[in-house]
Amino acid sequence: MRSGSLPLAAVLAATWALVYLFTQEFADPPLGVGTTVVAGVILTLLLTLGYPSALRGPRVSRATRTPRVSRLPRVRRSPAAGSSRTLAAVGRPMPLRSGLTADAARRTAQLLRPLLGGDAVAITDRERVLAFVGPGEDHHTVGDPPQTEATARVLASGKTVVVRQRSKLACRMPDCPLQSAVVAPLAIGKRIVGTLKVYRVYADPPARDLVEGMAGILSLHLELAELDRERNLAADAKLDALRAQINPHFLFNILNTIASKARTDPEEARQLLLRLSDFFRYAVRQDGHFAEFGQEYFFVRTYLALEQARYGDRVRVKYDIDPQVLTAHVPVLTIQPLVENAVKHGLADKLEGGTVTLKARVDPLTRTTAIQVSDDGVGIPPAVLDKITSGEIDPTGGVGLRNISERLDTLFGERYRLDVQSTEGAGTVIDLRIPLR
Amino acid sequence: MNTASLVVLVSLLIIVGGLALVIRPRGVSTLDFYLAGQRVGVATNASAICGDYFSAASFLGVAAAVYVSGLDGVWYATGFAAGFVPVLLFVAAPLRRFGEFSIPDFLGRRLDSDRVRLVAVGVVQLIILSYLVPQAVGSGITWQLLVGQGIGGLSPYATGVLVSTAAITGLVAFGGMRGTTWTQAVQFLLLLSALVWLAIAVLGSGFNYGASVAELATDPLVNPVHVDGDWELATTPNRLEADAPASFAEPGARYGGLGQVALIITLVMGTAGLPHVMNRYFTSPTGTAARMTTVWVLGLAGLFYALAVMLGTAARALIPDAVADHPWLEELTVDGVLRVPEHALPVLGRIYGGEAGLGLVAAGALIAVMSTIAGLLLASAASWGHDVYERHINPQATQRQAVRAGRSTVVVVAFASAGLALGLRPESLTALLPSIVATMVTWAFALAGSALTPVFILAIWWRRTTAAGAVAGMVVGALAAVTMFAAGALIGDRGLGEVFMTPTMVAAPLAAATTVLVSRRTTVPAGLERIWLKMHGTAADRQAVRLARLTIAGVDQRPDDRGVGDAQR
Repeated sequence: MRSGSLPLAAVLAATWALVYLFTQEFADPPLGVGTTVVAGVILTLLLTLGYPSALRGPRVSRATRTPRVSRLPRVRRSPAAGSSRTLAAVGRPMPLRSGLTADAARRTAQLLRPLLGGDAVAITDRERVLAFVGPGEDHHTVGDPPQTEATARVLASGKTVVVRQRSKLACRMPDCPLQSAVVAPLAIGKRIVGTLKVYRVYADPPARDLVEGMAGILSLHLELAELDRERNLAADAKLDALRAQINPHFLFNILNTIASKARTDPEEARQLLLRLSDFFRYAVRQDGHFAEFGQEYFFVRTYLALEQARYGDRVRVKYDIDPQVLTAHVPVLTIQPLVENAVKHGLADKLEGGTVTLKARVDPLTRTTAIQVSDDGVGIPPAVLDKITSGEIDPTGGVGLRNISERLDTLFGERYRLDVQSTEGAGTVIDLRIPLR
Repeated sequence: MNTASLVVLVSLLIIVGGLALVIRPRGVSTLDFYLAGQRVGVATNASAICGDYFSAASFLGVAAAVYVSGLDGVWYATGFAAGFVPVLLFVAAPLRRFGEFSIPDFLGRRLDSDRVRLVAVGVVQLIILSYLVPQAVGSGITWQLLVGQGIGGLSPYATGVLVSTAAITGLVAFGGMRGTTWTQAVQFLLLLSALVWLAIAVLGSGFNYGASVAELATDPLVNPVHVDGDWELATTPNRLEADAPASFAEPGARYGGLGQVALIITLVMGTAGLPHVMNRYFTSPTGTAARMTTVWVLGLAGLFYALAVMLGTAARALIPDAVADHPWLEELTVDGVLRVPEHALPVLGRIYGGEAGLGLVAAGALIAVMSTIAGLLLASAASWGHDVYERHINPQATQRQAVRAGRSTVVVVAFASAGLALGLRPESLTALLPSIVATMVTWAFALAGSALTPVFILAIWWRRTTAAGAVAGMVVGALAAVTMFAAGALIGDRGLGEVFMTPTMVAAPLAAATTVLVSRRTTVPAGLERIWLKMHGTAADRQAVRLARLTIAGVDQRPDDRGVGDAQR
């Protein structure tokens, strides 16, 4: 029987029991056979159809799920059983996935001790002991430099070392219970970043291949952590790029506007300069990837006030925002570029100007923040739209839309939607849906 | 029920839907008021909260409770309205400053524990379910009076329950009724205007509240009872003084001395734990605005319940004289006293406004039911979808799967409550309880007040609260409340039984004590200082105010506004 069929059968049985209860027992007088059967069949259909996707989740994740380690028999000394447990550990969420930190190392050591057939497990980086779990914790304190010269050898050579004699462990405490050890390197690529050490309180050291295999798995996780970090750096870089990109043309245009106003209306010119400083203060000062919608809204309003000073009545703005959205967290600098696109590509080329509408809602059912930027400007020709959505070119010739979608990719993975719809001559609608947070 | 009232009902429902679209603010102004926490914005949010809060229990139930038991029914109005006092004093501002989107979210992050979050989800679901059932009962009763016949061999009551549940479930699950601030506010305004119209009509016909109460107090209180298939009037016994009959203007018609206090405490403590109401506090721009919103809610609730109490009294005083002129009243009444007290407001509406009046009141009742059910279903779906499904069942869920999970939750929860409402036949219970809808809602309040509110307030105001303590407190509070209901149902509602039917007075201190004891033995989560600062500090508030002022200044571009903005930076 395929996994998941059993719960479905149970749910269906329970459903029919409920149908019987409600139609025959609670309803007074009991309902007819026809009504009962129809109600039951409808519920059954709903459950069967909705079950695979809604309740069970994606097939992939189910397929890779491994049995929980706690169900396996506890420590056994045979290497064969050990390696099967090693395999079981591959699929587990590993604390070290977040990098080689003291906290992650401690949790990893606790997790691994029963799996490796040792009495004590230690993890070090190149300079310090990050975690020590098991007998001897009292004097092998976390934060000290590693004491054994075996560790130094492993760090230098990148090869696993087996220590069979107590004297070679070179512990300064005479009554240290540890007798033997296996020390294996942790590496990211070719770079040795630390060691995994498994001790025993008697002379027979733990299985070398087991410890080596586990160190290999940990290395893999560390490598993944490094990749994660690099990806985050890339996301940061994209945000920086967007900040730096706050368009030079925009700056020139607005400075020109201010220069011309400086004669006719000095007070308004002063206002505009102050607005401009608000605008850049916000764009530059933001750190982190999220801000409250209220802040982004302020940013958009400031931007539009500046554009309106330049375009006059040709750019009109409508805000349709449910106050519930104000406290939602949205990725910084995503709405303003969308609005800027609407002004620059939608309205600027249209002689009589037009209206930009910013609409924002919270959908409590799906926990989604929905943001829509629409304009009634010139629209995008279908051929160009195809290229934009397939990522070939970018409307600004810069990084606007693609930058946003790439950042959303890193922040939300599959969990967002960015739709562009456009009719030539009638305007463009950009729909953004992100998880509420 | 005939076509006229049906037409009014349907057209009103359409108008409310349309109105919400038409008066939706289109310019910049309303949101600006909102941002600045000014009066218009605060009043809108307050109306939206009221739209979520005032359910069938408030609209039909309070008037019914006053109608059937006089002063003892007034406690419902007092308790429902006063429930916002603890919210105002202890909860509103810190909750807003912390800025999570639901109660389980708040507790989970404040105490840094997934277990707290899961237990809170369980408690929240229980509360929502026990709040949904009386709403379904309320819509069943409304249908009974309004349409009077069932569909497909079902009784009118069952038809009402099923039809309304199916309709609202469909609306919530597939698009509409997403409970934006404006629609909720508009729905509340219609509810309030129905009450105000009725009050003006009643007062215009020469009704005098003080004189009527004095007059009603002269005779002992009588209510219809069902004996051997026949209805007859019986004097209501007084629970405070044995052998004396109860009076409309004196306490004792429904509750003994202990019961009166227990009821009020239950209602006052409960509001702070109602998930669909608390969810709206996260929408105020600042903590101060959240607090101001609560003050407005208190005012609106006070007005609403004062009117409801007056109308309940008016129904008691006016219906006996109206029977002669309105022959349709005869099948609803026994010697001038209504059989089902929930009919009090609809009957008044029909007396003063004809079929259209009945339609207006029925529309008010249906809107109260619908907006509350929608709010509850959304809160339930959000807590399942977000706190359980996305975190524990399927962390890699795509948007579509999350939508499906939310929809199926809505369907399951709605039909579970409909099933329970069908199981409880109101005819069998009216003899036992003053007003079935109002009484059943107190169960939800009791659960919320026993299990959530103590933990909630401790988590906000006591630094040493820990995850283990909160879990223990919620479990103990919920268990105590449920056990006491069960015990109360067994031993009846006399003497101690009264406390058992409204158990917050005992269960809440128990939950609080458990939380404190267990917390003392466990360690607080790391990062407490940061959390504390976020919850009680006002720096973020000031920042939000400053930003709001700047945002709005951009449109006015008044020099003096600029000056203020600059000086504060």
